[in-house]
Amino acid sequence: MTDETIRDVLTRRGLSRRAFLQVCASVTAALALSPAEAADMTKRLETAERPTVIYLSYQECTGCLESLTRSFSPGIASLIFNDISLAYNDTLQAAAGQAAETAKDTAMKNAWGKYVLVVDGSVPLAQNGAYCAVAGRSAVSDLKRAAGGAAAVVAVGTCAAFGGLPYAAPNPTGAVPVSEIVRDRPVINISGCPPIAEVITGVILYYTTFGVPALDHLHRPMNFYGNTIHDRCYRRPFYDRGMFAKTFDDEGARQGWCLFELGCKGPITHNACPTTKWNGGTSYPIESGHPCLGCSEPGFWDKGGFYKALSTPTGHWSRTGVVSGAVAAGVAAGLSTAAVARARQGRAQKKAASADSEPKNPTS
Amino acid sequence: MPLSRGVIPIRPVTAGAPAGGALADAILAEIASALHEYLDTRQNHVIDLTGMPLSREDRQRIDAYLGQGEVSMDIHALVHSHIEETAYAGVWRVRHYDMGGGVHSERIEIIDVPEIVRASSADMAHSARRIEALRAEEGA
Amino acid sequence: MNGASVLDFARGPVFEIALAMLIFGIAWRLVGIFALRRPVDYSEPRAGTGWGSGLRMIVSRSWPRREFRERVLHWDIVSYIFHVGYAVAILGYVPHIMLIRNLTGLQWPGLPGGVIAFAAGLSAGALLALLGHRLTSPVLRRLSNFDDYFSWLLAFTPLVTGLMAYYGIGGNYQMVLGLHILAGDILFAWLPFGKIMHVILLAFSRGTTGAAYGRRGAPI
Ligand code: SF4
Repeated sequence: MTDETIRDVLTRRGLSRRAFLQVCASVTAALALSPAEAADMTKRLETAERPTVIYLSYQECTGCLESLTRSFSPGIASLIFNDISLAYNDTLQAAAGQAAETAKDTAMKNAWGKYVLVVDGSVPLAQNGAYCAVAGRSAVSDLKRAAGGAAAVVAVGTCAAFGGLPYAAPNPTGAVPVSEIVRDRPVINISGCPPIAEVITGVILYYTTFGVPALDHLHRPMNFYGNTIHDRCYRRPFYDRGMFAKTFDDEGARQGWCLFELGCKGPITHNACPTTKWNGGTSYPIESGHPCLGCSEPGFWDKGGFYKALSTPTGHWSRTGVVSGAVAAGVAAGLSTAAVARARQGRAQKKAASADSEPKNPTS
Repeated sequence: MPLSRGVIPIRPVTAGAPAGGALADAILAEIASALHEYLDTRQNHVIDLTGMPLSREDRQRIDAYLGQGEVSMDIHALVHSHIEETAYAGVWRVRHYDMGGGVHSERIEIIDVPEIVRASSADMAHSARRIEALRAEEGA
Repeated sequence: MNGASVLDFARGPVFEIALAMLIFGIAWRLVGIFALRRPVDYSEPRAGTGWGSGLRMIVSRSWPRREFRERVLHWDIVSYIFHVGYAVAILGYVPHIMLIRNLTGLQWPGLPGGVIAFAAGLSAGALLALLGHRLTSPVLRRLSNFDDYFSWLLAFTPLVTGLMAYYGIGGNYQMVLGLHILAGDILFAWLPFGKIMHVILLAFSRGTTGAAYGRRGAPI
């Protein structure tokens, strides 16, 4: 089973080389490879062994998996994921209970040391990890065991990559990202809430042909996360001209002006949305008229509000408290300085007055 | 009329979106040099338009310049692909559609015949086996 | 600290502290000055109460008198370029207007990014020239103290970081933007405590001087 190539899987399904080339075109387009790299990748994919993917879920909402399997079915992304590579997934299986656990163990044993471990969801550490347990084992120990046999770990979604929603203040479960727990294997973060399906499969196929892709400082593949939304946004000319929608239903919104004032986090968000787009290339949030929430960046839940412009303060403390406290303290300080100064002025005046009234010594 | 049009007045802007056509010029230059390259070395060239931030003007200019040629083909494999030669021999436009009918990959290829059109040896061998099997079945 | 946390830090706690220091400092200095004893002037006013002269001087001192023009006018113009450019960048750029709206509820239409960048660039150039002048003119050099150089630096950093953020220079945009906001925070916090307080005191000091001169009948 493990020696089967990607071509073999497609042939077995009665698909021709043309279908294979269609898959390649889709993947290389999503990865934005140069013509030479794309040709190279196609050649390698032809002989590449099919990757074995084991997909585990912890503190998550299954949105990532939904993105992957239902974005446009049966699309190429889901084909790559479901038919070509997936060996085990908690959610997408009929088996339950003991049978499911056995299936997981078998899948891991068959490809021990070689599989790609995909994790979605964060891992809670508080209360000894009791907040998330699978088959009586805590998420943290389950992850450690599964990572032991993985060639690489792919953290899918912002929860797995950066902690995401469970990590948001005050983080009651002590959630941490996968990279905090897996330290001895390459961890590739594919952030997003959820990430784009083509990005997930693109990275898995890239890994099987070329190995770990070039990563940014947050361990995200540069191919997809190298640019900000703002860099590639088609509304950018409006931003540069200072033309902004002020509400969701004003003239500017209808004319498709920039959404910065409505809280767009595009300028600080790295993702492939403007080019790869969503739902099989239909559109992406800004194209649908909504500002970017910044879902692929760490801590996006705690940035002071989705609809607050990026240049405004996050409102760390109560504004009235800060302002009135400062005014009161300032007035008090001003009055006391003035009191000291007045006292000094008074003494100086009195001295001058008494000096004036004193009869001057006759000089001659 | 879709409901949304009645509820929310939508007034699409059709012209005057701020954007230039600079990319279209760059692509045309690339095609010209790729044609020379192919004639000299038989090295094919692919320009993937999928991820390019093309403006509407860029697209219009590319369409207008490349025009339509003599050949057009459709592939119905895993997904639907439409291939057509442009007004320039050896310059092809290859579009792969997804199941919903959207374009998920769009490229310009400079080659005598796009690679995806050719039947592969493996598939032809497979065909031979299938025909032989069919004949054996009929003969039996 | 990475870019994202610098940005969050600058937009969050540091901004609030800076705002508190700005308000505290302005209140402190204004109240401290206004609550001082006025010197009693026993002389007869030569021309009215001096109010008019006070207002007039706020304007008249904005341009050098004829006698001095040849010597200082060019530097005054450079200084104006700096000040006007700075004001355009602060008050005309939409992200800044967003901040003002957030603080005060007031807003007005902004200018295109290119205009802002041009104004900010001119302003930065003028500021550099003024520093050069300060360093090379023997008189100015003697007159300058730490406050002058520090205030110069605090005025200059937001300009440079802002231009860097606008043009995407310096790689990590979040970091550059975070540093820009941080620089703005520090400028806010320092404003009332150094010479930058002239932003507010300018009108009062000129007005008081003008009023006093006016009483004595000096030409304003
Ligand atoms: S909508 Fe957002 S990403 Fe697009 S130009 Fe405006 S601020 Fe940038």
